[in-house]
Parts: sequence; structure tokens; C-alpha cells
Amino acid sequence: MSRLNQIEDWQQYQDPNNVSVDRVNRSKRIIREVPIEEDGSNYNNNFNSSVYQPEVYKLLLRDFSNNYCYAYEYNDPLRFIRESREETFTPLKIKLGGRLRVKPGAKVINGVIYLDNSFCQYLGLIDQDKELTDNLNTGIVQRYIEILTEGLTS
Amino acid sequence: MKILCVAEKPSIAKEVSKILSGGRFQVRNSQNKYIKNYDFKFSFPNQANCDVTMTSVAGHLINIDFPPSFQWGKCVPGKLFDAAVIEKVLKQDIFDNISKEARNSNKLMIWTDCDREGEYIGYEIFKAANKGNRQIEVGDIWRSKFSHLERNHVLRAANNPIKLDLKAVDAVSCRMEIDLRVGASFTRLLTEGLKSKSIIDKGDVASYGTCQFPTLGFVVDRYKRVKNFTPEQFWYIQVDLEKDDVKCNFNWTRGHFFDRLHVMNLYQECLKHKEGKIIKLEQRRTTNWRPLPLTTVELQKDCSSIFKMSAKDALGAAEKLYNRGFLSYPRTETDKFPASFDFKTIFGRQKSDPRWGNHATELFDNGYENPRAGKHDDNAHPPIHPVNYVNINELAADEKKVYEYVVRRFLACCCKDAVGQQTTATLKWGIELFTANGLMVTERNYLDVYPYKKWESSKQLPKFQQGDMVSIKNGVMKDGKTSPPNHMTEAELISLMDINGIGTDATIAEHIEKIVSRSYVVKQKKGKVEYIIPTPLGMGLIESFDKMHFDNISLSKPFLRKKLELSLDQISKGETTKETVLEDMKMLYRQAYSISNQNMVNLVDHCKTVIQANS
Repeated sequence: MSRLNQIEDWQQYQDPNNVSVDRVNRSKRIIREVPIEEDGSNYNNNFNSSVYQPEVYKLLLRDFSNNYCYAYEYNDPLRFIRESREETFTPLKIKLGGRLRVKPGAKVINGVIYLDNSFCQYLGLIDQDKELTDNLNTGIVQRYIEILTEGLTS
Repeated sequence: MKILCVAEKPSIAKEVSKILSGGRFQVRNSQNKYIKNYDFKFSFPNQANCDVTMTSVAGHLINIDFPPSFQWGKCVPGKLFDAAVIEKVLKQDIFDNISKEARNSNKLMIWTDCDREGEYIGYEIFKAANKGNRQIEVGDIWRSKFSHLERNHVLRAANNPIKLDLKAVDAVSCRMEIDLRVGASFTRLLTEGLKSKSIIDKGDVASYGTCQFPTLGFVVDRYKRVKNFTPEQFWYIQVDLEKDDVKCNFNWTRGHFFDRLHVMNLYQECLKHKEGKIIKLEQRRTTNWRPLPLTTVELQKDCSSIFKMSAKDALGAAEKLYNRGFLSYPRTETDKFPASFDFKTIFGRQKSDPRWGNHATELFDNGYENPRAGKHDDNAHPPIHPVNYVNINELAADEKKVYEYVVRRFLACCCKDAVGQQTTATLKWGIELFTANGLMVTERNYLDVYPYKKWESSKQLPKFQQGDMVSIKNGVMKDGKTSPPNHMTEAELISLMDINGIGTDATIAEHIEKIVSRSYVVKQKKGKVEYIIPTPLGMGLIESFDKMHFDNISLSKPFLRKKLELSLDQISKGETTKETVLEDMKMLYRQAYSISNQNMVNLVDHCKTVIQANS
């Protein structure tokens, strides 16, 4: 998803009464755009931009030795994210800072892990990580908007 | 027995009189030169051989307003939320004509349009009649339910009267009162504030309306989106194959990503394989659906995009055609025909037309498809359809286009879907999947009568076989950039208003016209497309209201008006009362008014800044 669209998603959680209303997005509340085909008769399903954007989660992981790496969702949708019913009050389905066990054999390309359900196990938020998880999740909406906005202009 | 019938417009009174009297009626003038009284005999159920007088109003008879002590300049605008409201007769001569004609009548029969507004006008007619004859009571009123002027339909309406829907009357009255109080208070506040800083001229008015501002808000939001757009790079993989001198592109099933690292890694995996395999070759029948039955909003959208006609002009032309009996009532939300609908008679009436008569004849002689059923039903009117035939050469320019469009849409609804053969080849390269499609249109069906829709055969695929191994000579990682959205078109604005509950099928066009006439927006043509662009004043108003810190509401977004529309529906269904909704909405808007009033200096200053920045 483009940064512009992500910013809009996050802005809905920041001030739902002040988001742009001229397009459709994933929000059930707001209908913001009704694309009309050139002949004026049909809607298509690609509401968000001129390109099709499948959603793939990209995770930033840190191991016990403080090494960082990226991991992408690969092939099958990661259930621990997509099926989570946790209320986060953000566009994310889970809170940040949870532990994830990556199993041996997970695909790695150029130092990036490609995850599917069979090669990982989500352990959730752990009490002893409370300081970290509080840090990561407090003020996350504003922080994300700032990060995404900065990414747009850099 | 004397029955007084009153229609919503003079043309309807005339047409209904012709039908009920069989052409045998006398015409008397009234004090108003447009309003005639038609006298004739008609036998209603259980009331044979009645003396009938048919007359009409010309839209609303009565308006609501504030008493003289609350007029502009006589009180602070905030008082208008709780000021008394009085009724004012708008057209005294028409009001008096009904009172006079009611004097010798035993019964009142309402022939206004069958929608909420028509129900309310029916109640206004009752007030005029009751003034002349206290014997006429609201519970005894006959209300005809009709949606077009075809003879049998009108006779059925006359023979099956129902009661006036007082819940719908309450809903309209509630909406009128909220619009008056909110509109007048904010308009006065805003106008005085903007005048004090010379943002508008002395004689100008900066109006606020609960639909007007959200309508403007859509346009401003889009303008800002275009203005603030930043292109973003994305990446994808594409494979071009050639077989038997036929080239084709295979598109990556994962689409595009805004992440170069991800695409590069997957591309690198693909490059480990010199060959790919056609793992699936599917040929399937595909259909292109005929259009749904026509609603007002669809009519306005299509007329805007096909004929570049404004929503107001499209509805205006359709109303003229309805008043002359050529089309059904053009204000409808219904997109499915009732099971009992008589399609064949309508085909029969269109058979002689040189342009589409052959299609009508085909449907008449050889049978037709039942139209698709949409999900909307206002329970008042069927979808817009042709009623009587007219040669379009006899019509004015806009009416000609609208009539032809409605007829063709109706015929298209009753034709078969268009059919094609879609071939999809799936290529597996490494573990990545790519597809290529080819379409052959085999049966045009409804497309033949409906030139407004295009569906054409595409380039055909090479003759692949499932299991073919193909050498990948041209599999590349490509990039692109997002392109800016377009400014708002009227068709899109209508859709947004409709979906977000701003206005009704009947009033959407008026709200758009209002923001044009107030110079909040202008229409600008770019190539063949006309866009709606906010003026600096329009930008300034929306941006400055968005800066106000209201308590969980917005005056420029559609949410509050949508809440009101939902509440009005609840009044109509008897789920809540007019009084409850009035109090709720007044409270919300009163709070917003109070905040705006306290911050008026900031609001006006910010408005001025935005205007200067955008001028």
C-alpha cells in the first residue's frame, strides 16, 4: 500500500471527524471515492489507487542478541496477525513488541526472512517486555503518521 | 358527492383530468394564471357519479420562517435555535383557490408525487382545504398512489386511494425546521463575520446548509488530495512471451509493491529458473451484465458522464418528460421492477421508433429477460422507465437525450447479458505466478441497444497448451510511479453524496447548484471532462471550519447530515418521533454554533489566510 494511503488509514484513528471524505478506503464508516469507469457505468474493485496493492505485512524483528532483520509475509497469510481480535485502536491487528519464534528452515533471501505459518509461532506480549511494548505502542498513531510523512518527502 | 382533487403541478392536474374524465371536462380559471380548475364526473369505489374538481398547487404552498422579531439584524443568530417558528403562505392565490374549492366539497383527494416531499405538500393542501371547509379532516383524506401518467395506472390509483402518511409528513417537517434553524443561524453568523473583514461584499451572503457544506467538503477534500499528491515508486515483475509470432504480456499475480527489496528478492528467486511452465489454461464463458433498472441518481450520473449534462438539467428534463406522460416519475431510489410489471405494453409502444424500434419489436415478439433486481426499493415508485412513446425529434435537446437514454436503458435491462469467451493462461516461473488474458465477445445482446457501454474483444493469446515449457527471455523487474487523482467530476460527486446520505435523489442536484451559485466552486473543463474545483472562498470556508475544535463532530463532513437522514427514516417508520430528533439535532448544532461564535475572529482570519494562499 502506498504511504499516502497508509497515512490516511492512520489519520482515521487520530481524528475520525477530520479525515478526507472524497474517496473510498477500507473504513466501513467513510465512503470516500466511487471510481467510475470511462463509460460511466461500472465500478471496479480497485478503489484505492491506479495500481493494485495486495497487502503483505513487513515485520521488523529483533533477536536476543539485538540483531535486527526484516521479515515478509510469504505465500499464506500469517494467521497471528490477520486473524487477531486484539483491539489495538490502530490499523494494526496486533500490538507491537510481541514475541515471535522463527523456526529452523524458514526461507531467507538476502538476509530477509520470508515467513509462512508453518515456520513461525507467535508467543504474544510477554510481561517481562512491558517496558518495551509500552514504549512501542504509546503514541503510536502520531508516530506512525510522522514516520510515513517523512518517508514521503525524503 | 363532490370530490376535490389536488395535484402537485398544473400539468399533472390536466393529464389526470383528461384520463379520469375520458376527455370530457370543463376548465375554469383561478386567480393564479397557471392554475386551472377542471370539472368532470367520475365514479370512485362506492361513490358513483361524483362531481370532481381537479386543481393543483405549484410545489410547496406554505413555508416556515421566524417571526419579525427574529429576522436578520433583529436578534443574535444563536437565538434562532429556540425561536418560535411560524408558517407563511407562499402562494396566497393558490392557497385561496383550494380553500374556495373545498367549501362545497365532501372529500379531499391528494394527487401529489408519491414521495416524502409529496406527502408533506399533501398536508399543506389539507391545511388550505380545511381553512375553507372545517368538515374536511386529515384522517378522511384520500391519497392516490401513482408514479406515472399511463391511463390504466392513473385509473387504478383513483380507484384504490390510501391514507396520507403523517409519519412522512413529520419527517419532512423535522428536516425543514432543522434546515431553517441551522441554516439561518450559521448563515447570519458567517455572513456578518466575513463582511467584517471584507472577505465578501456588502450585498453578498455566505450561506451555510447542512447538505451544502458537506457537498463542498467533498470537492475541497479532493482538491487538496490532488494538490498535496506526492508520487510514490512501486515495483513489479512482468514476463513477455512470444509464441508463433504472437506476443503477450503476463502480469504478476502479486500485483505491485511499494518495497523494492521485497520485489528484488522475489525476482532474484525467479531468475534461478530459465524456463517457466504454463500450468493452467482456462477457457470460460464470461458475461457482461446488462444494466440495472434506472434510479434517479444513476440517471444523473450517466447524463453527467455521457452527455456532460448537469444533474439539475438531467432531472429537469426527466421531470418535463414525466409531466407530459412520456416517462415514469423520475425521482426514485428503486432499482427493481415489481413482479407484476407490464413490460410488453411498453415494448409495444416503442416498436415504431426508427432508432430502437427493431430492438423493442424483437423483445415484444420473441420474449424478453426479466431485468436484474437491485437492492434498493423506496416502496413508492418503480425504476424510471418510458411510459408513452414520443418521437424524439419533437423534444428539446436535453429531453431528447434523456428520453432516448431512458428508453435504451429500459430495453437493455430486458435483453440478455453480453457473452464472451475469456482465455486465461497461468505461467509459473520459479514459484511466482503470472497470468495473461484474452477476451472474445461472442454475443453482444444488450450492447446492441445500449451504445453507452463498451465491451470489446481484446488481443488474442498465442495458442498455448497446458504443460508447455516456455523459455523466459524477457522476464523483468519494472518500476512505476503512482499518478495523481483527478479533480472531482459531477458524476463522482453525485455518487459520493448518494452513498454518504447527503441530500436525496430529488435534492442532490439542488445542493450542487447551490455551491456553484454561491461561488464556492466553479466548473472547469479539461479536455472533454468537466471538473468541479473549489474557489478560494470555498477552500477558506471549509478549511476554517475544519480548524474549529468541535466536540466530536464536523460541519464540513457528511457524518452529521447522514445521522439526520437516518433519524428522518426512523420517524417515517414510526421508530422515533419528530420532537426527539429535533431536540437531538438542535443540541449538536447549537454546541457547534456556540464554538464557532466564540472563535469567529479566528475562523474569519484563517479563512482570509486560506483565500489569500489560494488566490
